[in-house]
Amino acid sequence: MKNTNNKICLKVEEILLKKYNDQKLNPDEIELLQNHLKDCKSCQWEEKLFDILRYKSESDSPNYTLSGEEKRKVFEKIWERLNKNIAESNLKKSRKFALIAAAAVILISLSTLALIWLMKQKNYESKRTFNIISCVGEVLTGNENLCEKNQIGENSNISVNKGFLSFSENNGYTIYVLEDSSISIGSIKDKRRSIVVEKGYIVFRVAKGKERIPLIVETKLVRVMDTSTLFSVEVLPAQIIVRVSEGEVIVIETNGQKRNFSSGERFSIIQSGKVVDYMPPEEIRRDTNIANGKIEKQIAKTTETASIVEKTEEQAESKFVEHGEDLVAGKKQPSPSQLLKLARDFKANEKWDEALKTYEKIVRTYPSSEESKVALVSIGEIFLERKSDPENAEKYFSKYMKLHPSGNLLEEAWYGMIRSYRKSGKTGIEASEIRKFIKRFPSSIYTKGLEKRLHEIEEENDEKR
Amino acid sequence: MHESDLELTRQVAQGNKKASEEMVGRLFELVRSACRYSAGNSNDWEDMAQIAMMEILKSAGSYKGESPLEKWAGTITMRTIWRKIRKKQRYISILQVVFRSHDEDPVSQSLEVDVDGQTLRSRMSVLLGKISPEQRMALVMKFGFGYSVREISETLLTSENTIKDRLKRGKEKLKRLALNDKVLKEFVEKIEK
Repeated sequence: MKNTNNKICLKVEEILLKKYNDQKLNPDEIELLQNHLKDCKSCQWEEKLFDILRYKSESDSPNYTLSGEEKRKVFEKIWERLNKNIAESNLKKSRKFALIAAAAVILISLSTLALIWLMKQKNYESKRTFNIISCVGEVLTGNENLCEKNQIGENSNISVNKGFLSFSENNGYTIYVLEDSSISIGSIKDKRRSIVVEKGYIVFRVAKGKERIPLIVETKLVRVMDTSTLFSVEVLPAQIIVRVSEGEVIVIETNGQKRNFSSGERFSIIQSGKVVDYMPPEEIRRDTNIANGKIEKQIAKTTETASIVEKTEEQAESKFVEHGEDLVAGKKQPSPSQLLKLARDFKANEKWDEALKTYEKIVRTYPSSEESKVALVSIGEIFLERKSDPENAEKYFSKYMKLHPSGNLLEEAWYGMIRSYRKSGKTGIEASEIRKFIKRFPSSIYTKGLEKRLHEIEEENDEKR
Repeated sequence: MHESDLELTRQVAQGNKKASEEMVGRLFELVRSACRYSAGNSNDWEDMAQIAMMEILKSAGSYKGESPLEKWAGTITMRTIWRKIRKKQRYISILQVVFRSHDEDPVSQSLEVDVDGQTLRSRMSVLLGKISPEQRMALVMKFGFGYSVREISETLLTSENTIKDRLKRGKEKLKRLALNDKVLKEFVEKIEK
């Protein structure tokens, strides 16, 4: 037992602690330690006690020492466990990798879907303005005259008191509003553009196969959903008439019942909100013919509004005299929209040379403007129809097609080009362009006429052979 | 540099079975001793020794030949044991301590002791099992395998001061236990005579 009263024993204990804590002992301490441990039994046993633990070789094991054979058996066991362990850990790794890869794939897919969704949302968001194609007469939104503008905004109330208006949304569809009609352009609800028809006669031409926002036309009695078609909605005090010239529409009655109507069916709806009357298809063809021709003019002129349009044109001429002269004389720097308006006034007054000059000025001065696109097609039309100059017409139509291969007026420019070929007698290229056109715009209002023309060309060719 | 040890571990790392067998033959007794002392009175120290040996074989590629193979293997063994103890401690150590505190050690009760080295070491491992794993690990590493305080602190991921404290307290406790143990008391008396 340690003699705790012995001062040297306590000193030695301190030195030993230093030693265990890896502190360096000075020569005096080493000497004291060695001398004391020789004589002091109580300090000696402490040192020997911890010496029992010291492992120097296999013979210092606290266990029964294994024989060579036993060691070999243990090794086999360890080896087997080790290989199993490695295989399991590899499997775990590959599972983990597969899991991470699957998670990554899911994450990427979700992100892509989210991105597509966001882009679509953004796309819908961005399509909030409408390009005015033609505007004649007194067309008001609030107190402003729309005919002085190029675009209409979303959530506008439009009243066509005199004349007519046509506008389009991102080339997806064109809406023709005839005289004495009122509509509101609603916002996008459930991914559909809502158009509210208050009164009057509205024609909807919807492009087929193009990415567009679907339409829902709302009236006080029914709602009409388009499914790629050409149709009109006429809201009268006592009834609503829907005419389908091409394709199909879905009419939702007030009781929620849905009815599909295809091309050639006309029906009226009385105030109870139910479809009650069908017109025979023969009668419809008149309407279809209207739609197949020059839609804006012909619709206007085949309705009672024709005389009013003519009056509007007269007024337009006098208006031109007021402000047009200043613009042409260069007193003012006209904006492209002012020039376009002016050119339209010239056109309405059949001043073809002036109209051509003004359109050319737009193309020259504002080549990248929206008005320049309209001007190119309009110049082509004037050369073709009014100047009997198909070569020049072809030049302008082709310029538009080259510069704006997916532009709003591609269909019109292409159609104009085909007619130019016909007038120039280039039957070969005319036929090939007709084929391409039909392939690109199978539901175009020009397609039927062009198919007929193609048939004629083919018959002529057969006869020649 | 311990070139021959380095060559041996290189071959083990390449999956050479013969070299692995040689390594196990050389180190297994050391690993068993470390496990026996460190595992306390746990019965699974033999299994623990096999697991530690597997760890050594798996880590063979990391041996740089800077210290003797035994020391390097000892560190891996101690680290493996420590991990196991810590894991086990979380679940059962409290229950074991509660029940063991009233147990009488069968050896100290009944054995007519022949005080040879093997018996003393065996008794020592029993007594070590009665002190906390933290103090036990520090004592085994220090007095059993000659690690410095710094090396112990690095292996057990504890500060040097904590290790010093564990060594001091563990030593006192072990001395007290030894004086109350029949076999070791006899050993003490022999020395005093």
